[in-house]
Amino acid sequence: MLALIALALVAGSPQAKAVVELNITQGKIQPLPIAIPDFTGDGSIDPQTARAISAVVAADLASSGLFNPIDQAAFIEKVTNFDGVPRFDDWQVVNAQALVVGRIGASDEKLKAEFRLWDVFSGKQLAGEQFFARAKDARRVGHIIADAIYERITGEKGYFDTRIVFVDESGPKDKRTKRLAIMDQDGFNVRLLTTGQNLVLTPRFSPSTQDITYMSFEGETPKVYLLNIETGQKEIVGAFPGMTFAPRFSPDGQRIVMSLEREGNADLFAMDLRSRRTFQLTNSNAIDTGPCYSPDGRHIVFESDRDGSQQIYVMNADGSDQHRISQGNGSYSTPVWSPRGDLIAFTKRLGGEFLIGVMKPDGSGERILTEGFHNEGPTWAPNGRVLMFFRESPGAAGGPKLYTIDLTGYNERQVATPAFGSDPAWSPLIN
Amino acid sequence: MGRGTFISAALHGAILLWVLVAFPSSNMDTAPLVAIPIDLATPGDVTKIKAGTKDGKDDAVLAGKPEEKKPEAAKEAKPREQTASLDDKSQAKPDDKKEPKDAAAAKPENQKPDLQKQDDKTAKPAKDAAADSPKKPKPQAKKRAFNPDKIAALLNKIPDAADDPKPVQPSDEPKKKVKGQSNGTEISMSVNEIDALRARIADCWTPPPGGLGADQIVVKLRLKLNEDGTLVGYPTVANSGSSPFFQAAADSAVRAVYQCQPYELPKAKYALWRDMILNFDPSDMYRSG
Repeated sequence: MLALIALALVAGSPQAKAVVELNITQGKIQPLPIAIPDFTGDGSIDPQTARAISAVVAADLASSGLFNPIDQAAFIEKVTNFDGVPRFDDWQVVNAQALVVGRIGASDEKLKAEFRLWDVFSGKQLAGEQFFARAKDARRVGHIIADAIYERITGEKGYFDTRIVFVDESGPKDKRTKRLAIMDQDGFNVRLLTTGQNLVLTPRFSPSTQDITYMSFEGETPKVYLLNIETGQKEIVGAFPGMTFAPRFSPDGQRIVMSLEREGNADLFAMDLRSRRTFQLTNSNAIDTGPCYSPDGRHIVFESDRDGSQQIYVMNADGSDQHRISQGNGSYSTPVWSPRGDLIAFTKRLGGEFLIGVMKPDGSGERILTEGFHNEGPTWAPNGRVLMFFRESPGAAGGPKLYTIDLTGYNERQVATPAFGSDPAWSPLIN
Repeated sequence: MGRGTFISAALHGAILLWVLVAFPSSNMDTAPLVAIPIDLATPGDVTKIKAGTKDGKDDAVLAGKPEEKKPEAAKEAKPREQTASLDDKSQAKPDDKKEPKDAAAAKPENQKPDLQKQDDKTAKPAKDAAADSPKKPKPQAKKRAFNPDKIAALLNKIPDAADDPKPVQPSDEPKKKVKGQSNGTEISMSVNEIDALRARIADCWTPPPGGLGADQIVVKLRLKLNEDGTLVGYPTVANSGSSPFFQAAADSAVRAVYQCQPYELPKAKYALWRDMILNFDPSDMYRSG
C-alpha cells in the first residue's frame, strides 16, 4: 500500500497559519511489537506460576495477529521492580513499542495479580490493574490481562477470556463417538459435558455463558436440548412431534429459535423460554433452517432452499419481510450474524469446495476468508474480528479440526484439541 | 552553347546581385532570433507556506494560547493521570466467585514518583536539544513542566530564516503583521521536503486495526520541534473523542512521532517546521484493508 500524496498545506483561513499541517493517511499495517518479560513473583508464590501467566498473555496477544511479542532473549533490562519506571531506552533498542510488566502474589489463598502497560516511546503508563482470583484460575488471569492490553491498544474489546463449546470426535471415521465438550478459547482446560452415548450436534452458548443448547439423538428423533454447564441439568426444548434442530439463543437469552421438521418440510420457530410459548416464523414448502438473530434481536438470518438451492435470507424477528441476500454463484449455508452487527459469516459451497466468507446484512460486499476441501460452521468471537470454524481433512485417517481466522483472511491458526473437533460455538466474554 | 552559357551566367549574376541588394545580411540574421523568456519554477515556489510568528493575530488557535487551549488540554490531561495510576478499572473482571475488586489497589504513594519520573522523561528531549543548540536559551532545559507558551516565546527569539537565500518578496498585506509573515521574509517547504516528512512519519505509524466506527476517527496532533529535529515536550492531542478507538488512535499517533524523532528537516526553514500539526487519518487504510 503506497502512501498517497495528500498534501494539506495550511490554507483554510484567509490568513496563512503559523504551522505546517500535514495529513498522514498511511501507516504500516503490522503487528505491534510488544515486550512481555516474565512476570515477577512477590515472594509469596512459585515464580513458575508468575511466568506461566505472562506466557498466557504473550500467547493470547500473538494469536490475535495484531501483536508481536518480542523474543525475551533480546531484552536488555531485567525487570525486577514492578513499581519502578522501566528504562525505556533499553526497550526502544529492542524495537518494543509497548511493555507489559506484571507481579503475581498470593493473598488469603487467592492469587493477586497486578500489571502495568507502558508506552515505550512516550514513557506513559497506558493501563494498570490489580485483581484477585482463585489459584486454579491462573490461566484465566492471563486471559483477563491480555484482554485489557488488547482493548487499550486497539480500542476494541478483547476475546481471550472466553470459552468454546464444541463436538469432540474420537474413534474411527465410520464409528465416531461424538461428545459435547467445552474449553478455553486457546484450547486449554477441555472438559467433556456428555458421555458419547448419543450423537450431538450444533451446540450454542446462551448470552449468560452458563447454558448451552444443542441437538441430540436421544430416542428415535433428534431433539433440541438445554444444558446448564455448571449443574449438568438437561431438558428438552419444546414438546414437538417432529424433529427439532439448529437451535440458537436470542441475544437477550429469553428465546430460542430453531427448525422444526414435519413431513419433509422444515420451518422456523421461536420459543419463549419462560412462557414456553412457540411462534411460527416461516411457512414455506422448503427447508428453512440455520436461524440466527442479529445482535439487536430485530432480525433473523437463515438458510433456505426455497429458490432451488441453499441460499441465505433475512427476515424481521416476527417472520415478516423475508428476502434473499446471497447473490453469488454456489450455495450458501450456516449463516451467523456478527456480534457487532456489521457482517454475516457463512459457509459457501462452490466447485466442490467449502469456503468460509462474510457479507454485509444486505448481501453486498461478499468476501471469502478461507477455502479448501471442507470448511464449515463459522462462529464469531465476541468482538466480531475473529471466526472459528472446523476443517475436515480427507482420507480414512482424516477428520475435523478447529481453526480460527481473522477478518483480514491472513491470520489463520489451528486450535489444538485432544481429538478431532467440530461444530465450535464461541461464548460471549465471561463475566 | 557559348552564347547560351554567357546569357545564363549573366542572368544568374544579376539575380545574385539583386538578392544581395534587396536582403542585407543584418536583416537575415536578426529576424528569427526572438528571445522567449522562460522561468523555471520548482514545486516549492508554487506551494509556499510562510514563516510564522507567535504573535500573529489569528495564531491563537494553533499556537495554544491558554484561553484557546484549555478545554482540550484539560480533556487530555485527565485520562492520562488516571491511567498512570494502578487503578482497578470498573470493567476489571472478577473471577467466578466474584471476589470484591480491590479498589484500594491504586497506590498514591507509588503514583507520584512515577508521574514525576515520567515528567523527567518527557522533558529529556528538550534538555538534549538545549545542549546541542547553543541558540537555545537555558531556562527551557530546566523546565520540567511543559509550557507551550513559554517555549514558543523562547523559540521565537531565533532569527527566522536568517540565512534564507531567497530574496525578500513583497507581502500581500505589507502593513499588517499577520501570522505567516515574519520579518518580511517568506520561506517555504517544498513538496519534496513535505513528502519526505510524511513518508517518514507513515513509516513510524502503526495505526490500530480499527473496528466498527473507527474509520471516522482523525487524530489532530500538535507537536513542537527543536532545531535538531527532536520533540519539545509532549505532543498535544488537539481534538478529542469519546470512543475507545480514539484513545487507541491517539496513542498510536503519539508513538509514531516519538519513534520518528529526530526529524531531518532543512535547518534553514526551522521557523516553518518548529511547530507542526499532523492529522492522522487511517480511513483510507481501513477501506482498502
